[in-house]
Amino acid sequence: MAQRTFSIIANTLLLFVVFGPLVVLLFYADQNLTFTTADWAALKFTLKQAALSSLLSVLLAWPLAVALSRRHFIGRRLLILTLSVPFILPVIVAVLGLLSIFGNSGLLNSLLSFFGFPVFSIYGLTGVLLAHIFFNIPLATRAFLLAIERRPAELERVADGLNLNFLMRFWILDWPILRLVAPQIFSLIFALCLTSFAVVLTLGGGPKATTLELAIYQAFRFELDFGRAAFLALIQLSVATLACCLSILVFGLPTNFNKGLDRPVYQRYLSIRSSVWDFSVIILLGLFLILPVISVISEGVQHFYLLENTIWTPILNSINLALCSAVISTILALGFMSKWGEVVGTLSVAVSPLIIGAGLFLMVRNYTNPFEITFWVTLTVNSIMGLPFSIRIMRPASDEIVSNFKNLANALSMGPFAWFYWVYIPRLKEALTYSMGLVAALSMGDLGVIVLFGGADFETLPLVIYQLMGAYRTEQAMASAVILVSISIGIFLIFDKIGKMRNARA
Amino acid sequence: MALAQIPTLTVYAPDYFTSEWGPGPSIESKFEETCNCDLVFSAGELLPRLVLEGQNTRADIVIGLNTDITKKARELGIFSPHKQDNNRLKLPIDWDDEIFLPFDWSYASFVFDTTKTKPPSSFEELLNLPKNIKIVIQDPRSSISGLALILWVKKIYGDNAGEYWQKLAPKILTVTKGWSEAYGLFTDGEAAGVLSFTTSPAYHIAVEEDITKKAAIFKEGHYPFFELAAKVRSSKNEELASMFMDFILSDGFQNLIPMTNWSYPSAQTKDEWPSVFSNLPRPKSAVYFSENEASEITKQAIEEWRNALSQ
Repeated sequence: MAQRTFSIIANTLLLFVVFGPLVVLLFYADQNLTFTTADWAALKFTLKQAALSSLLSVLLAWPLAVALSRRHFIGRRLLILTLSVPFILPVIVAVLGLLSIFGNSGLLNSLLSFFGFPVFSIYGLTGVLLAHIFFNIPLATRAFLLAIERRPAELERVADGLNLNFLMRFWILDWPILRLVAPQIFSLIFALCLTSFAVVLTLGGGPKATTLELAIYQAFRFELDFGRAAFLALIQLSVATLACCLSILVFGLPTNFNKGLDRPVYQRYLSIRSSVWDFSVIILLGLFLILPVISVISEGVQHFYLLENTIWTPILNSINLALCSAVISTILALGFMSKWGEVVGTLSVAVSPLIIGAGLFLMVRNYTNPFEITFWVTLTVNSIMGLPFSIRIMRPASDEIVSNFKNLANALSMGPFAWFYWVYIPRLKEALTYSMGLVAALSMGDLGVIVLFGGADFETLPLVIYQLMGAYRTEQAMASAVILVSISIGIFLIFDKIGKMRNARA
Repeated sequence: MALAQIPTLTVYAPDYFTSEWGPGPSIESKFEETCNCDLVFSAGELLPRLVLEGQNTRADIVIGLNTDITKKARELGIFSPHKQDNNRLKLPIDWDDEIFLPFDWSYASFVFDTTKTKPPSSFEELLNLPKNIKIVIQDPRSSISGLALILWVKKIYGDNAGEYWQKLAPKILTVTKGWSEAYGLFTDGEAAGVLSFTTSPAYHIAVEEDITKKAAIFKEGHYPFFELAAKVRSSKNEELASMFMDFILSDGFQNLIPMTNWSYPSAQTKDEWPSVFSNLPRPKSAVYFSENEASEITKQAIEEWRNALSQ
């Protein structure tokens, strides 16, 4: 009962924050809302790149997750951790990192031209996809890995005992995980790529690579046509909702594993051939994800001496914001632990932050001056934006706990408090802390709504990085980005440690 | 001792203006020396914010608007005349606007890394740069400097602008959302040239002692770019706001502009500028669309650009 009430509150809050702004802005719309030919072209390109980006991310993340799950080598934990970095870099910094490897004068092209091969141009659809899989493979990999690691270890033993071949193993052991997790991750990445615009434009090489989000930005900032901006945002949201419903409700099937005995991970004997395959996957994708990060870090570290003392306030602001949104997001997410919850919870990333910011502004302006509550507005938006990540990370674990223990708990007439304290939370702990770590890191790197509201009174680290870039100080910006990444990793690590700590009951 | 309540002047400004690397902080302390007031900058989007706030805005002054969107801003009817003598302005064009007061200016220009290529001297030469020399520009739909370039090309090429864009397309490495992204790509060595301003090299000379970055000066003339301030009609600090408008044209303000906003101050002549600015090469003439012309032509010019670059 208590759980239901909480779920209703959480859902209402989310719908209010997502649809409220759209509705108030739509009031500005005049009669002649039109969807121009340019808008059609943008919509078509948006769909194409988002679909391809999410498909590729999922397809590449799966073998990586499988390889990481069955190989245990020194530095594995660290590797898994660093693989998540692309996801939390400020967009502009990540783009510079990618270009230092794949760009016109990047590492790859230096190598190619050294060996006399023709130069590779990243700009175009290739660049857009490359950037999007760079950002999203980490997310997909972690989600798959969490699911694989929760698979009862007994299954592997039985599969070995029955001497199942490669295909049968895939069908019986892997497919149930894929069909549950892949649609969830696909829909989230799809929604994320839908609203991407700075990256798409820069790496897309020109106006061919225009997304709907650019039209929203243009309508909002230049044409001051809020109605049109909201109208376009509504179209964007509908597309995301449709994609989400299709993938989660239609294709997403539940796993049907029975409960295991929580035995330690079983070390299988693996053939040389599979070792070669696994390590090739790990090394290739690992390099792809890590090289740009290393390049950013090595460039940034060289310019540490440029950093000024004034950076401390934005650092503290960002940490504060990150921790608060991590906790709020994760707690709220507990109210969305169902298929529908997952669909609803994805909507927040499919609405442009500009629209949410402006709409929230209109909603609160009669009660207070929104610019005096920048922190609270930013916190609300960041928490809502983190929600889909929290939901995706925790739902598989949550479903499993419920299906395995709920009947037992009911038989013992456990109250909701006892259920949460003794059964649910201890078993959800790892997913819970991972969710907090991820949302914190995300929120750390997010510029989001602060562009509209931000300013002299409340500055965050990503905002400072953008200000530095806007004041010719690229080098100092890169140095600050390294600080940002280090703190994000630090927070991430701490949460990871907490999650891995053994529960007292064990 | 009881502190007398001093009035607050609220100035809306873009982010780059109020940041600690922009002109905001030094302008604030300079003005507060004499105004017996508290100047508070509020950073963020300017026009969208003013429209959202409507009559309830707290802004007394808005600083950092651009000429290419003044028509929209004017039609909002929320500004009052600046009441300054426009003859005090030292701009490359005649200024007779009663509402918007320029506080600085520069010319749009392509800035090149001269270790990679010699800067071209005309739009035609730009087309004939070596094959591997590429430039980065900004999208006119999301960036005000990007829009200035579109208008510049339109002014020079008129009906043939689309054709010129088609020829220029292979030289354009990519198009970015805003100036910062483009300039970042340029300083990172990804492109040899970038759409920026004739005054950009001053930063590299003055701060980094780097003289290899030079603005290409085109013989066709350059599109000037003004940054403006305006008084908000609903301001309750009428007197203080007027004082700030006076301050904008005074040396106290003007002296701060070049080395913090990396542009020319609007009311000083060449010999009053810091030497790093007066030594920069400058275009022979300014080519310019009036506010009405610009707003009439913008949509079509952007469409021509988009079509040419989408092929």
